Amino acid sequence: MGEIYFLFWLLQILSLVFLLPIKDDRGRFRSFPAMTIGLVVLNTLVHVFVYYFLPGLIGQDAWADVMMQMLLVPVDITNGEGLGALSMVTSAFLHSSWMHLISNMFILFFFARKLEDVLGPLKLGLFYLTCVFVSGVGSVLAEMALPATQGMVPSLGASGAVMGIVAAYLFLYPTQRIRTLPLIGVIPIPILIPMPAWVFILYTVAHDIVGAMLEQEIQAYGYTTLVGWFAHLGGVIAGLTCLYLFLPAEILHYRHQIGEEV
Amino acid sequence: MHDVTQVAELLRRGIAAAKAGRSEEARQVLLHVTELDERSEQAWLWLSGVVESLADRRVCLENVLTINPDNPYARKGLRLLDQQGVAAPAVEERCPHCQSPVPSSGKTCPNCGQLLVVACPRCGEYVEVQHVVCPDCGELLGDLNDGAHYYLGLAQAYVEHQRFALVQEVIAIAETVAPDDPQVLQEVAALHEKMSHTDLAVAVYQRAIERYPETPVFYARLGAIYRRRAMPDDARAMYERAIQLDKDDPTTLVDLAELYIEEDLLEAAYGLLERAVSVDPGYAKAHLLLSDVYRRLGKDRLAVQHYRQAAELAGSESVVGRQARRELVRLQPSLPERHTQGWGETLRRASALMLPLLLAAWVNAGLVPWEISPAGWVALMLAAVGAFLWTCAADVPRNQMMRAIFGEAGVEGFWRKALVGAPGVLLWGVAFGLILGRL
Repeated sequence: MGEIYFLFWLLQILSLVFLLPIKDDRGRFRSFPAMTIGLVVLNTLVHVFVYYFLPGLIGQDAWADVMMQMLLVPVDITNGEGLGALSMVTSAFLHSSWMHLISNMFILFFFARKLEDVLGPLKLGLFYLTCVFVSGVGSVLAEMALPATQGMVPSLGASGAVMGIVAAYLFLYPTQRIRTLPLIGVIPIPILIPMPAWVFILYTVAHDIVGAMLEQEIQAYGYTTLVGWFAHLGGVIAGLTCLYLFLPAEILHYRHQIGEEV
Repeated sequence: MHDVTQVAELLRRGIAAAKAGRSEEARQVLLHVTELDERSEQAWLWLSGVVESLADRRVCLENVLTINPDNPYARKGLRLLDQQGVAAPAVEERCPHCQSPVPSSGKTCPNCGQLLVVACPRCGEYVEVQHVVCPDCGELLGDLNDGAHYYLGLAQAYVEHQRFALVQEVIAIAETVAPDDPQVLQEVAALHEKMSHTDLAVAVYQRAIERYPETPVFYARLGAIYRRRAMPDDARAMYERAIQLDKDDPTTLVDLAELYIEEDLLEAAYGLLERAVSVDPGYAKAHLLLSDVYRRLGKDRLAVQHYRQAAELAGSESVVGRQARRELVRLQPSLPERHTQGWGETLRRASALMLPLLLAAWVNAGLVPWEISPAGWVALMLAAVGAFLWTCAADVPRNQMMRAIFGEAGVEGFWRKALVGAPGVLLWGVAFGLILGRL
C-alpha cells in the first residue's frame, strides 16, 4: 500500500502543473501546415458530429452501440472481434470531453507543424497513422496484462498518437528551446518558462511512467485511473523509433545539425 | 539630517520667546526651526504672530494650512487678513538665462527669448527650466547648465515618450545655443532620422560636412541615408570619402562592402571586409558578409569558416546568427547518390509506407502474426508492390531499377511520376482498405 500512496502523491504533484507549449525558436518553411490543420479540424468535426448530431440522427441506444464499436476495447482486439484495426483509428479520433479534445489538439498543433516542415503533409499523415497503431498496440498489450480490467475497459483519444508526434519532435530537435505556460488546473500562471525540448518531454514521459506504474498497482485492488498511460508510452516509442523510416536521407544524416537551423 | 530633539528644543525656545514678547528672538529662532523642518505646523503658526508684516503673516498661515488644512487658528487668522484686504507679497521672478525680471506666467523670456518653462516628457506638466527633476512625476529633465545638451536630452526624451510635437522646438533651441558644435549637429541629425525627417537630417549632415569636412562620421551617416533612399552612387561617394578619412572604421567598411556586394563588385567588397574583420575580429556582420563573398567566389571552405565565426559571435537570437546558421546548413555537402538512391534507401522509405498496414494486419489477427488470414497476406503483398512504386515515384526516383527502365534521369517529370506513382498509391490504398475492412 505504501508504494501506491507514494505513486499517487507523485502523480498528483506531476499533474499539479500542466506545461502548455506556447512557442519555440524554430521558424517554419512551409507556408500552410495543411495536414496539421486537417487533423485538428477532422478531430474537432468528429467530436461535434458524434456528440451533437449523431444521437439525434440514430437515437440514443443505437448511438451507444455505435460508440462501443468505435472505441478501442483490448479484449475485442485479442479475440478478433469488433472492428479490429479500424477501431484503433476510430477511437483515435474520439474524445471524452471538450477539455480532452482541446488539450490534445493544442499539443498536436504545436509540434506537428514543425514535423510537417520536415516530412511534408502526406508523410506526416502516414506517420500519425503509424503512431495511432503503435500506441494502440501498446495500450492493448499492457491492458491485457493488467489483473483487474483484463482488457475490458474501452479507451479513446488522440493522445497516444500525439505523444508520438511529441517524441518525434524530440528525436529531431532535442535541444530546441520551448517556452511553456504553466497551468495549475485550468488557471494559467502568466509567466513563460523556457526549457529545452528534452526537459519538456522528459517531464511528460515521467508523468506517464508514474501513471502507468500506479495503474498497475491499483488494478491489483480492482481500481483504474481511466487514463491511457500505456497508449501514451506506446506513442513515445512509436515517435522515437518509426520516425527513422519516414525521414529523408539528408535530414537523417544531418539530423544533429538541423536543430540549429532556424 | 537634523536632530529631532534639537528641533523640538528650538521650537520650545521660540514659543517661549514669543510668549514672553521677545519678538525678534522668537522670529529668528522660529525661522531657524522652519529651515530645519519646513513642515513644522507649530513653528509656522507661532512665526505668524511675530513676523513684521501682514503679508508675511499670510504666508505663514497659508503654510500652516498646507501642512494641516483643518488648523482652526490659521483659518481664523487668514479670515481676518482677508477682511483687512492683505495680499501675499509678490516675489520677483528672474530669467535663468539673462537674469532680467520676467512675468510669473510667461513661457519665454521677453528679454532674451529663451524658454522659461519646458513640458515634462513624461507627465506633460510645464516645469521651470531650473528644475533638474520634474516636481510632479520625478522624471529626470537634465541640467540647464549643460547648454545645448540639456535641450538635446529633452528632445530625446520627447521622442521616447512620443511627444513629437515638442521635439522640433527644443532641437531648434539646441542649434541656436551651440550652432557649431559637431556633436550637437550629429545628435540633431540623428534625432531627425529617428523621427523619419530624412530631409532635415540630410540638410544637417550637409551643413556639418561644410563646417567639418574632415569628420568621417558625417559622410558615413549621409551615405547610410542615401543608401536607404536607393541612391547607390551618392551613397558610395559618401562611404568612400568616409573611408578615405578613417580607413579603420569597421562599420563604414562593412556598409560600403554591402553596397559593393549588391552591385556584384565582389573583389572590392572582399578587400573591405578583410580589413573590417582584421580591425574588429568580433564583428559578426563582417564575418557573415565575408562568407557570402567567399561563397559567391566559389570558396566554400572559407565561407563555412566565417559563417561559423559569425554564428558564434552573433548568438542564436540575432538575425545575423540565424542567417549564418541557415547558410551553414545549406553549405553541407550533398550525400553520395548511393546513399540517397540505393536499394537500402528504397527499402527504408518503402518500409515507412508498409508499417501502418503491417500493424493493422497484425492487430486484425489478434496480435498473433501467424493468424493473419490469406486475404491479409495478399493485401500485404499488394501493399508492398504499391509502396515500392510510390517510393520510386516520390522519394527514390533514380534507384537502379528505375534507371534501368527510364535511363539515367530515372522517374523525372510529371508523366513519369504519374505513370509509376499512381498505380503505387492505388495498390497501397486498395490494400489498406482490404485490411481495415477485414476482407
